Amino acid sequence: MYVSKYNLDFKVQNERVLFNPLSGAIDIVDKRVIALLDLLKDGMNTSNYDGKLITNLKKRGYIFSKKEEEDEKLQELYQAYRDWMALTPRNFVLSTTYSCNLNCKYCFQSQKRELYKDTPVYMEEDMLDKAFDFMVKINEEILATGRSKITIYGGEPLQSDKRHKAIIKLALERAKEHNFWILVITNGADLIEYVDMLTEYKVGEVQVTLDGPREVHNRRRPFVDGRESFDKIVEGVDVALACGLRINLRFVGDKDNIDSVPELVEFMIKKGWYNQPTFKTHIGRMCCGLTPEYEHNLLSSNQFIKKLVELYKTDNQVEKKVPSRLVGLDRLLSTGMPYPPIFDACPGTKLEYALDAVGKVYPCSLGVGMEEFLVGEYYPEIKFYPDKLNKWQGRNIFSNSECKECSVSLLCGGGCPRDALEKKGSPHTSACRPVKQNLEEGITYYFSKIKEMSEKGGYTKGTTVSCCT
Amino acid sequence: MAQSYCKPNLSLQIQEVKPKDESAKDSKDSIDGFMRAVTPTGRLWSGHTLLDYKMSTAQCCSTTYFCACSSY
Repeated sequence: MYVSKYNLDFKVQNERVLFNPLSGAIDIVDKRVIALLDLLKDGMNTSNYDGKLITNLKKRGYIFSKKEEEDEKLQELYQAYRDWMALTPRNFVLSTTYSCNLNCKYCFQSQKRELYKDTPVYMEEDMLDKAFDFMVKINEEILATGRSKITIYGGEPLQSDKRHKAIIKLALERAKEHNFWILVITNGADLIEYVDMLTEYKVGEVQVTLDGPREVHNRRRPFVDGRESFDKIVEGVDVALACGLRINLRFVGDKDNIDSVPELVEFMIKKGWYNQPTFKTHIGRMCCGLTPEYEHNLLSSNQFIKKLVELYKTDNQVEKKVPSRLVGLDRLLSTGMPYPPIFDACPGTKLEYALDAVGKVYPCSLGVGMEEFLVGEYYPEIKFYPDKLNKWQGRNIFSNSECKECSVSLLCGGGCPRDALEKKGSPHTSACRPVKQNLEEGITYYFSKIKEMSEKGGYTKGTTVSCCT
Repeated sequence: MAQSYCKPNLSLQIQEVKPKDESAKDSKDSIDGFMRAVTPTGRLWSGHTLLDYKMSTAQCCSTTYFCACSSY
């Protein structure tokens, strides 16, 4: 008998929760089950145990007759994952500028202003045309039938001057011509000046960032000239919502601002934003792209989860209004199944390319402008660097020796290459996080709901899943 | 500012999906005194279910399915 290497066992309130990310099974089990698994792992005699229990453990994917059965299952799911990737529309990140109108206190780009001083402030029209040649070409080569999307990004793409506006309008026009779905990631400081344009082109979603309530946000995210940005962003969100634009308001937390979340939530409730069907918020952890001087403010992933749980416990408005994926348990609670196995956490060069404002191609938005991430050019001609591209395209949990042996690899998919670069000096290594500990925090927090699911004999009916919550 | 295009409900509908009905569950089977199923006993990941499930979560937000990685 072979015990799955992916079994994860959690002790919660004197009970044991068993989770196998390969099969998707989660069970609340008696401690004798854990003892049995230990015996099986050690090749000991298990004849005292009921045969039905062994059968059930097999049915749930916790044990196999032999190791090869698990390998076979892994390959079956990996093939399905590859098929899914082949059929999935692409995401193209289009960075129309490296410049930014804000001077965020933690942003690494503030230290690169000197470096960027000779870089064109915005993308020129001929370069934009080439960028679309690139995106259309890649899009034509894939099997997906759905609409691929363009995420307009920067620097800050929505800046208050005619030339930025002209290039954004042109980008929206081209995207419409080629039937791309359009999203915009903006700091929101000059959003109000773009609302008409974004509405005209039916932009699917605008992601805006607030770092906290007025005082906290203004301290952290002033304009380059020192002006405060909070009120301008709020005004932009108000107008955008009134015009029916879909706003995804992002809060990124660290030690400096995480405790201000309840106050921000209260502000957004008072604004009536949650009454708008096109408004949603999400919370994430500040993790990369920072100045070295700011790094002491970072929350580790486990500190972040603990803090989030603490906030959720003390103020239930926060959990309702600023949901997080909380180690993937959001999906379990809303659909009855956890997230499927992740064979590769990085979409770069597989589902995503990022095109910068000077003709370079990167795997993803987080790599834009970084030499370690460069994989090609789209201007003046399309050109890939095969050695670099192959490294990115071959990245998955099987290509990394640490991930191959890891019991949580199907949950983290090797992590984010940008994180790996900052932790280990190369994007082509794993970015390990305390996945099991984080999951334990989440399972403990949601245990009453999880237990309720088990008492009803498992989740029984599909629920509508709203996106990205 | 001018609001010439300001009309409600112009934004694209973000796709909402329902997972397939998991009627094929033998819900009490695993309650044998040792194990209580939290996830459906009649449903485990297979090539087929994974493909269905992931397809349904792929396109719906500004990040992708993969941003689940940031949750851990």
